Amino acid sequence: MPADSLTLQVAEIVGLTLRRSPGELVRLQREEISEWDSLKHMEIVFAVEDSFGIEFREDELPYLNSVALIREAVERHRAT
Amino acid sequence: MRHDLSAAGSAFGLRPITLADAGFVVQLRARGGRGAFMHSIAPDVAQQEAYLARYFDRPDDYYFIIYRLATGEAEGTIGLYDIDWRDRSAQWGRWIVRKGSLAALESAVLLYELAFDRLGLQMVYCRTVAANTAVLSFHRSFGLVMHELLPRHFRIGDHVYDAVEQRLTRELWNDIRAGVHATTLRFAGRVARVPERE
Repeated sequence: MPADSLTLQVAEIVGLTLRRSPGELVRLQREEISEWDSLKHMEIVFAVEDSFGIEFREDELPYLNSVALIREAVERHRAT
Repeated sequence: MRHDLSAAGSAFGLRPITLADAGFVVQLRARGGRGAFMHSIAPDVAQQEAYLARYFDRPDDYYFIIYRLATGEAEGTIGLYDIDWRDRSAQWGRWIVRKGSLAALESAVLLYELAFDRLGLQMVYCRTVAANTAVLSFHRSFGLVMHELLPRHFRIGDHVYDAVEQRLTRELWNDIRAGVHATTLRFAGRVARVPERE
């Protein structure tokens, strides 16, 4: 199934931060991507927050471990 | 060794480890989730206390508990050791944060501040199992420079591993500290705090 527009936007942000192709990131989990370290994780979180004008809660941050999970969290925040 | 170095950042702090932390260390290691690349430790609290008692007698070895400023809750460990006062260098490690903790970045920042600003060191290095790509990537993202590959450097259990030594000099630290501080500050904005401690 092709990725939707929000997924692609998130993948683009993660890809820019990690310098990886957004297309391949859509299918991967954080533990499969060695460049996705703790520091890059914070950079990804902040870049997503800035792009969508949202702020994740502290308890969400450790679980934003894939493009799909970040997409879900963005959608939740935009709905509230 | 018994020391009185401590540091408080924006959300997390470092304090000297005590005998009373032995149980926490055993739990942390057991639940750490990165077991493949960690040295085995004394498996029960009494043995861990004995290890800490020996550590207290060892000079130039600073072992810390990483804790949350808001609650005092311990979230991990970190250490600075093998200090060479002639060339003012030291190794850092024993770095474990509990699963789900967000203390990794700030604990590293605080350790570098202690090393360079308080102890006056000129260079700090880490030796990481070469296959531990997540930690190697963290150090690289932070700004450390690859120094050398150390073949068959670590023996962990029955396995022998190559290690990678990455280094941060005082000059490099001065170049990157503003950037990492900005990141830790922004993050800390959402971590609850209690009023400043004495």
